[in-house]
Amino acid sequence: MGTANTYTEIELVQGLRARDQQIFGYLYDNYAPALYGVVLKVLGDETAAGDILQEVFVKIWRSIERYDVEKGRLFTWMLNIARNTAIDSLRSKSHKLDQKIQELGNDVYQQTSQLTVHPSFDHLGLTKVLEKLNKEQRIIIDLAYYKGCTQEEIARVLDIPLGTVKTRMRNAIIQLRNILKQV
Amino acid sequence: MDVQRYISSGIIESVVAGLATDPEVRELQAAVEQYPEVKAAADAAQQDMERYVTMQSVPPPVDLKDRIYQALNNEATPETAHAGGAAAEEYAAYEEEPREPVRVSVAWCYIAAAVAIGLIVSIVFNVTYRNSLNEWKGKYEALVTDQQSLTKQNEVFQTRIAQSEEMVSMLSSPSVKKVMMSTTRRDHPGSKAIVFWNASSQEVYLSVNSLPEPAADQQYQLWAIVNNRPIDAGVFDTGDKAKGFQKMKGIATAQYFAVTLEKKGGNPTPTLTAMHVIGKVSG
Repeated sequence: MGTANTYTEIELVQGLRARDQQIFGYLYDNYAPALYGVVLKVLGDETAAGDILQEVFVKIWRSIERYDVEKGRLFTWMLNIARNTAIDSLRSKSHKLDQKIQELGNDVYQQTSQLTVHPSFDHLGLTKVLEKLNKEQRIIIDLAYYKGCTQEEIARVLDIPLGTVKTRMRNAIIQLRNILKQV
Repeated sequence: MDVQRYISSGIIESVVAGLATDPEVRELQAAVEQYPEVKAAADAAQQDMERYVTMQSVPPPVDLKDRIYQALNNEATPETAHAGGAAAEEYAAYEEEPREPVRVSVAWCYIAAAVAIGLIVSIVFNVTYRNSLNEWKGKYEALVTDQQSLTKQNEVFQTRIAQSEEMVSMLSSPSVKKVMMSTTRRDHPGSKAIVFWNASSQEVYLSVNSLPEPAADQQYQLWAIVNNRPIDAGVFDTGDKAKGFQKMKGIATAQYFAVTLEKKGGNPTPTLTAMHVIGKVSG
């Protein structure tokens, strides 16, 4: 984030497609912490997370031709690559649902843990968000996003009907949006 | 599509949070392309997730940037191309894992081409066949409908013919007596009805020529009278509901037949003041 220049997403895409290493450096500096945050939160293991993040950036570099601006923002696209690569790696280690929940439970109940709010990034306001987002709303977002749980798994964990999972998710994100407005 | 309902279903948020199934993801993509409101809602939800995730940023290990540069430089030389790790099962839309080009023999190209051509031919046949199938299906269904309505009409005619034949045989039977019932009321001088009574089979048929229309809660009732004692022969309707002959209750003996106006459903004994027609059974 110490870079003097700022680029729009379109400029970044063009730069990456032109194989501009300076743009790649900018991309790394600006997005690696967020992507690493995702990968680390999914895997819960710093060594594995480093390897996966490397894989993620290689994929971004290789696949940028196939990024379609119509289908979503660049940042979301990169986050999806990070999340999916990490979750695939997790699946290959055959994490059980119980394990997913337990890891997440630790996060939710120990909100001061290093994993949850990294001190150097807390200026972004996560602590405030977590204070206001209720536990169930946070769990439903985190189970889906960081643990790759299916709707069935979430229905089971939260003990709610399968048909209400999607609307619960909507309510959670609307609540998140309202809190984000105040941060 | 009900756009508002679709937006409030939570599908957008589920896709953004990585919860949705592949068909749901594709469905959302189609909706985003078609409806600006859906696109706006999807963009907003994406940005919410981006902010939430960004808040959970963690600085990566210091040496990682150099490692990645190194990996990218290795990328450039094909011999050391990165294998790509586990096959990423990303969403259809975000599936960005490039496929390595695979060398195939020329023979396989011909076979593949032949299969492709075969497939196209088959599809063309299928479409043609399907169209003509639909056409014939439509015609067939129309014929079935026609046939069903003809069968129904046929049944109606059969019933009418059977009734008519029954009437004819009854009327031509020597044991059937025709009893003309004439009006008993000055206010309705034209009232008239006829009873056809077969004493041996006890069958009674009634033909109403003219009777005043009864009130909604009233019905005419036919009586056989033997030695001044009335015997119920059943109630009957008049007007359009009772064209032609109506079969009444069986009667074994009768000296007179009479019709009175009673409450709907009839009475156990006749209201003599409400008698409309009466006729004597001939010797």
